Amino acid sequence: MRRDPDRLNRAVLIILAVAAIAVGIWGIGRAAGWFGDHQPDQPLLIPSVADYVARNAHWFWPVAAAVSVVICVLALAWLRAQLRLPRPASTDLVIQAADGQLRVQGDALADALRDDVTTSIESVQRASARVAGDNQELDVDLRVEVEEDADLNQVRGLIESEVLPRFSRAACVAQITTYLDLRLQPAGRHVK
Amino acid sequence: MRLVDRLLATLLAGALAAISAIIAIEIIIGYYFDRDPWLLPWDRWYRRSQELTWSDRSVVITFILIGVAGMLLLALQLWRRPPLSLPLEDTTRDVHTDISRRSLEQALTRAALSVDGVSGAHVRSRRRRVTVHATTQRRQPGDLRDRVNASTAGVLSGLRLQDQPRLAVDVRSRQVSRAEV
Repeated sequence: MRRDPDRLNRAVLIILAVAAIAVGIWGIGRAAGWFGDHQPDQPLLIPSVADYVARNAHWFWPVAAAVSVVICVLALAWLRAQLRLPRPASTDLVIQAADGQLRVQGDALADALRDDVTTSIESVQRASARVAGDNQELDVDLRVEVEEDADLNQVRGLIESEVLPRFSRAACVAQITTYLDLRLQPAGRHVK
Repeated sequence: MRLVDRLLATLLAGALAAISAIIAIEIIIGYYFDRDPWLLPWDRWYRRSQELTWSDRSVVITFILIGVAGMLLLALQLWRRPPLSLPLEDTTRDVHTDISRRSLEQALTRAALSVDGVSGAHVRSRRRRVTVHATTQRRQPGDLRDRVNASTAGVLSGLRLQDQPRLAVDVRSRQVSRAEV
């Protein structure tokens, strides 16, 4: 349920790196005469290219402007991915009833789950939760920090067999998918 | 490394968005409205690009710098970095559990330190390999390596990681100097 931009960054940066290497090799190749002996002495903007652009200005510049706009939009999307929070905000849950509908705040549900985890399992030091979805299918992102000497398997078992079923019943949700992130409390830090 | 990527990505994305927007505006006001350049002196660049040749020193240096920057960026991206968290085997269909890499290292460090005779321990985990570096005050470690191995392997298998990494244990005797003795 996390949405870190790390993979996206890596992919885009690899593409940019390969493009930069290709441009670098191409420029050095032209300067060294790899593509023809006469090329090192040619101007950067050779007259044939300038003529081609001038002849086709009626479509070249609109296309260039459109490409620039597309690049701008993609770059803004990339920038937005950096600024988003790593976990999505909780969404409210709407439960349909016979005579109307009941809206349960996602943050309230998440807080209830967090409190249940911290109070019902002794070795849990702190927890945080996010919920997203609807009353048919709900995704729960649960991060639990336990004492350094805690039995992780036991904590996990209690969460899976007791806390989550209790939460599922209370939230009246048919299907809950949970992403559990277990962490040991960093040595020397004590809270609770 | 991820922080470096995040900073680079923010800077590059911002620069790319700003430059491409300015270029689009320059094209529109230059081509459609026949106006002078707004921010980019493209008319000067146009004249300069007709004067400069491919073999000019400044041009060659620019392309070398672009190529080197690309190679450095590629090397940075291809560098294998340890995962932030490792998935555990699912025990129920609807619960997917991860353990943070630091917590795994912490649990294994504790397991190593719990062995009698171990005075210090440090664990490094990668995607497919976990290395436990333990130190002892003993001059002869004896079977300490086997015992550290058994202790850490027990914790590691108990966690039931989806991809069980290979465990390597290294026990070193701490050299006690005469002054300390």
